[in-house]
Amino acid sequence: MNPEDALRRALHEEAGPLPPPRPEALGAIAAGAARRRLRRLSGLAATCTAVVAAIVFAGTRGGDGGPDTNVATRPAQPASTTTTMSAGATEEPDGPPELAVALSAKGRVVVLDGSTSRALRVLGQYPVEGGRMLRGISLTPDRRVVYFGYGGWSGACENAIYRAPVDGGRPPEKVVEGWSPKLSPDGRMLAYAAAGSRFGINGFLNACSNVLVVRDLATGAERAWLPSANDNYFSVGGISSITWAPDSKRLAFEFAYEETAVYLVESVDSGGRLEDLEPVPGDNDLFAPSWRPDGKIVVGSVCCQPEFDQPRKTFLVDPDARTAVPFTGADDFSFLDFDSTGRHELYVRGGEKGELFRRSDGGVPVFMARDFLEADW
Amino acid sequence: MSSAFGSTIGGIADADAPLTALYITHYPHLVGLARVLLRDHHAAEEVVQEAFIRVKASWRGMRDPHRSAAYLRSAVLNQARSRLRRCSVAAAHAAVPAAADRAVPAFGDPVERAVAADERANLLHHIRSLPDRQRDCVVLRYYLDLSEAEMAETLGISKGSVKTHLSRALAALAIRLEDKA
Repeated sequence: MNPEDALRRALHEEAGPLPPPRPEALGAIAAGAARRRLRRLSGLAATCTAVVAAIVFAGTRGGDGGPDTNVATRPAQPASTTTTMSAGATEEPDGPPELAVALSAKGRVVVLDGSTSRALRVLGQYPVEGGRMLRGISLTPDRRVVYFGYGGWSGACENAIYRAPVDGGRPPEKVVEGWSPKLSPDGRMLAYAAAGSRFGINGFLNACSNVLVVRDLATGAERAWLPSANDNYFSVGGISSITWAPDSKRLAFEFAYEETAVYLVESVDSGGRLEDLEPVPGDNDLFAPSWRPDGKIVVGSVCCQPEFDQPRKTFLVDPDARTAVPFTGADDFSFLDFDSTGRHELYVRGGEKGELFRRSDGGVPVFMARDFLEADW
Repeated sequence: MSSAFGSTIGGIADADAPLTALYITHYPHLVGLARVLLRDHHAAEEVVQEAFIRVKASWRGMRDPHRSAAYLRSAVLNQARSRLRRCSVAAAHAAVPAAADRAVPAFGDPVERAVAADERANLLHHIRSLPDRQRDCVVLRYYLDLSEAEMAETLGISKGSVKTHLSRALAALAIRLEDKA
């Protein structure tokens, strides 16, 4: 039997005898279609109501002559999963995000299928010798563009943030010198770590990521949080794992020097103060903060100086009440990210293997890939 | 084609006669297609029913009703893929039915039948482990016997891409089957 016949026979035997059409199913199809149309109309009505409310609100604001202030809210996920007639459309309202982007330890910027973990494409390949590495990755809210950082130190800071379309349509382009980019949930601001030397702080040459910068993407205006001349601590350490609050008004980040701590910036728009987030009792190092959509921050913790030989723990921090409770989610992670619903976690397990996992609704972790540093979805 | 079930059977009126005809014509093969992909008859029927619900709900807005068969096939493939993704962890740990437990032709030498069943299971396993597009091309070509143009319309890709996916799939299958041998 030739191979094509073998394929035909195997597939037809697997499918088995063809079932006859079931007349009663037509009624179920009609009812299902009616329900679907109703849902679509409900979604349309809700959208119209929201638009009318927004117009009325804008009208009342315009009437007092005051400035038009952007309300920082995370762009909503598609409210309805209206069926389109284009062949190839899928509908997965309860599943994890369709795609994730990740930085590999081998220098690749990879787009992964969020469900199957399959690598869809490589957006860039960067040499990782000589201390150079990828650091920081962030998707725009519309999930079409990814920002990532790459660089190191070879006598002087040589790091840069790049951006590239997720569909691979154009090669990455340089945006600014810096590292660890993170876009605000409203997509208006880019937070990143930069070298103090860029701002005239030349105390330590190897401090390539000791200044926090927030750039307004519409105007290009930047606000930087600079260490003072006497602040030895901030002069030599490094900022990473920047995470934004869901309202895009606050952010937190990891700062590593002799110890690792998590810092909080209140009122980013108005240049608020840096504060050490210390809700976890004991002499713990805190790392890899990740702000959840519900307003809580998940942080990793390792105890205690000087050996730090205790098992790593995870805490859920309330940044307003400054309290922390043990968190039973991803354990022993070096990086953690939540999707916009907070239901789906993406994390890299601590250790040398760089194992990337996803987890939904507190369920069983699903291994995605190895040799990864950070990811976003 | 006129409805074999009468004008209003199942709650679908005359206005929906084209959809009824579509259902009668395509339902059996679509269930077979979904069954090949999902290995579960009930799940296959659900997937096909969902595909018809989508077509019915969007019938009036459909720009080209002549493409409805391609849209149905596409919806079945997408739904099946979606289900497979959600069940990937369970499927990875699910035991593959032994050759003896699977349907085998009830004729010929029992040893030959067992060998044939084993070979078939092996072939199907390799088909299912192909990348999505390649697997879709194989089942559309060798189960539904679609032409390259029909496959391209179903998958929303060019005929050239169909040829590429299919040839890659066949090459991959040949290599895997040789390795097994």
